Amino acid sequence: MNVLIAEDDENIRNGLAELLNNEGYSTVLARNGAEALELFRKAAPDFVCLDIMMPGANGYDVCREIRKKNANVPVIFISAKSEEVDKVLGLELGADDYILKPFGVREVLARIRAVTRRCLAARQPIAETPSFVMDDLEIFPAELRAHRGDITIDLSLREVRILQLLHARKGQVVDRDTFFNECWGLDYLPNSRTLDQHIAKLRKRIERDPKLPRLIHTVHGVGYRFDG
Amino acid sequence: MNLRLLILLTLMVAVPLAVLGWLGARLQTAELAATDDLIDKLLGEEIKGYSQTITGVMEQYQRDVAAKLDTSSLDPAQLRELLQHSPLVTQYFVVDRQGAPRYPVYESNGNSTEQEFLVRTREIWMNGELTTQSAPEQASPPATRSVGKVGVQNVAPSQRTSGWYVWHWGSDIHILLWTRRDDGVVVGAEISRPRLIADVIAALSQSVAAQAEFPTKRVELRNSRGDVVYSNSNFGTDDATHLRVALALEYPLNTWSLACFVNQDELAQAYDSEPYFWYRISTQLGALAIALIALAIYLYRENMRSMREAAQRVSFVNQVSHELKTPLTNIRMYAEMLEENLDHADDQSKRHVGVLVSESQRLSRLIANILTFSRKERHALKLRPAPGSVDTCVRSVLDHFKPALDAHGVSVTANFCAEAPAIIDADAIGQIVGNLVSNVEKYAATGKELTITTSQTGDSVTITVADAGPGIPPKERVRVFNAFYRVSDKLTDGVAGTGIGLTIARELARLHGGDLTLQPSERGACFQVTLNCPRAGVSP
Repeated sequence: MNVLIAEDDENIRNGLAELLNNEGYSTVLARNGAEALELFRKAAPDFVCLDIMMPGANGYDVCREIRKKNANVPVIFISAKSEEVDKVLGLELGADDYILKPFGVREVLARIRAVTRRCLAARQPIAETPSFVMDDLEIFPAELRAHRGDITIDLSLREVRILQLLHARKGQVVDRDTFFNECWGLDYLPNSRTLDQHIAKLRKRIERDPKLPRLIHTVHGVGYRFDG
Repeated sequence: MNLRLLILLTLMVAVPLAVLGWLGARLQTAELAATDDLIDKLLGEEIKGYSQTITGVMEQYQRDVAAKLDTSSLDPAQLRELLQHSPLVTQYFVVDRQGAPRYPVYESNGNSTEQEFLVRTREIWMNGELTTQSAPEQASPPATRSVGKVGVQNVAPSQRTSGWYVWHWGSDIHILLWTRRDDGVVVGAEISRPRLIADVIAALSQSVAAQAEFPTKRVELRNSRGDVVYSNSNFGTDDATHLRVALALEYPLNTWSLACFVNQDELAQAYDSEPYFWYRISTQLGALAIALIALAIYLYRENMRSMREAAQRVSFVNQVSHELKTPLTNIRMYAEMLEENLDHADDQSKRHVGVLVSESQRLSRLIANILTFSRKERHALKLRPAPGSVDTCVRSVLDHFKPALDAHGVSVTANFCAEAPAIIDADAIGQIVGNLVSNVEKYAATGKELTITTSQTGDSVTITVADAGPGIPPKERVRVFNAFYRVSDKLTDGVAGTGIGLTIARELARLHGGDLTLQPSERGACFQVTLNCPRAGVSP
């Protein structure tokens, strides 16, 4: 999924991009409203993260223009403006969510996942992305969620892809290159820690005991394996 | 302009003016009445003085006539001779012990003056009342002010050896002066009326001329018929001229009266009376009004300035808080991202990053509190209800605080029973619970315990946050909810805090249709949040 991030603060812009990239999204970055509109036309993003206070055209203006061109693309405002009137105006202009700065990483990711789920549900019927089971965990790719009994676990796009890959090659070792090619894309230049960090985070969420994993086993020097 | 302030300032000007005006009017009225009484008193004393002058004339007559009669024989010829040298007397007379006249007597060809005297005095001799007439009680003439009575010494008729006899004949009174001799014979004289009037007028003129109390006044002497016998001036009897005092003269002239007329306008000017009062009081009240209005304007401007400054301060705080958000967003975001990727890092690095994360979160809460409080002060604090779960909010808060509570060794016991979806403002509930848990971390960490309980019955949700810390002293239990108030004992020693957390939490709870209260507890502090949260998806 391609995400347009429009934010005038460079650090926030890059930080958000890194977060989303780690989640499995591709990103295009705009420094102001005019750039955001231009990139929206060129890149046709799947959803948009907009700051409100930007030089030139502000986030409201950009959202208004986006809605004129595409009524369905999800828009999330990420702003420091915390007054009720600001939030109401943003939502009235057709934004799907409004995230206040300073935000927590988990919060912003959870909200982005929620928007992504709605996106995917609208784009592809759930029947086309059937759920699958790994041990006592049932994964629903279309919902970006997994269930273990009554417990619901939110997953990112990349985590779903990793689990899909491990499930598809049940009992086989999946090497690091395969992970990067399948889950990150061919143009991605990974560093040595990226995959391990992702697996570690995923284990924290889906394993009963992350120190004694039952779903994702490490095969040292090669990759990871799901035994089924 | 603030209507309440305008009314307050108007009252501030109007009420003192009205009260002072009313008091001034009352005071002036009393002063005028007192001045009036004083003038009356002075004029009364003056008139009394004139009356005494006239009495003096009469007493002088008495002495002169008595002296002449004491030394004269009762022989008619000698009495006629004496009369020739007595301009004061029109006729001498002698009355025997039975009261019959012995001189003059009726004679057909007698002295005409004597015969006329006998005709005038016939009633007196017939009734025998010469020596029995008493000085009557004095009464003021009608329509005049009483200024006191001139005392008259009345002696029983049988004991009197001399006296006056007054009777009316013709146009005015006639006066006899008599003396009883040792042998019981009464001798006397009829006082010449023209001479009496002349002497009285002369004495009165002198006496009036000696007085200059009032610039314009008219002193009148009126006879028994009310005719003016004497007036000190041609001073008119226009509308402005009023009778101020009147007094009947002493016996035997008690049917005559003295009156004093004064021009009120001139008197008012001379004594700074009513017209001047209104001018003066208007001037004074006007000056006071100007001073009060100036004070009101000054206070209004000061108030406006204070309000502007307060608004500027609030705006500044908002602006600063807002400006802080961007760097804080970066610090928090990057710290959390770093923390996510520290699985293989050493414990020290994890702890360092943990501090960065928890402090950035704490700073986020502080800024959120400041902005919420500023919205509350601007009456702009509102909720954004949306479907959600109270337990999810509380869990999220506990997750945020977990590192800090763990660092303090506080064990958390949570009982979640408010999972059902409801219409809530998750941010508001997060802020309420966040402030309560933050207080436990700051002030009650020594208790090492935090118990948080949620329950949900219909639309009613209760969240209880209890600790085992030092608790809150009874006298502080109400004040802890006041803005900027912090318990000033060892509880807060060395602990930072803005003192607005509980204020905001209670305000948000009330906006949520509930309240925040401090419950009685055996140990520590126990705060209870009640919220009205309609169930989501349930039609009312």
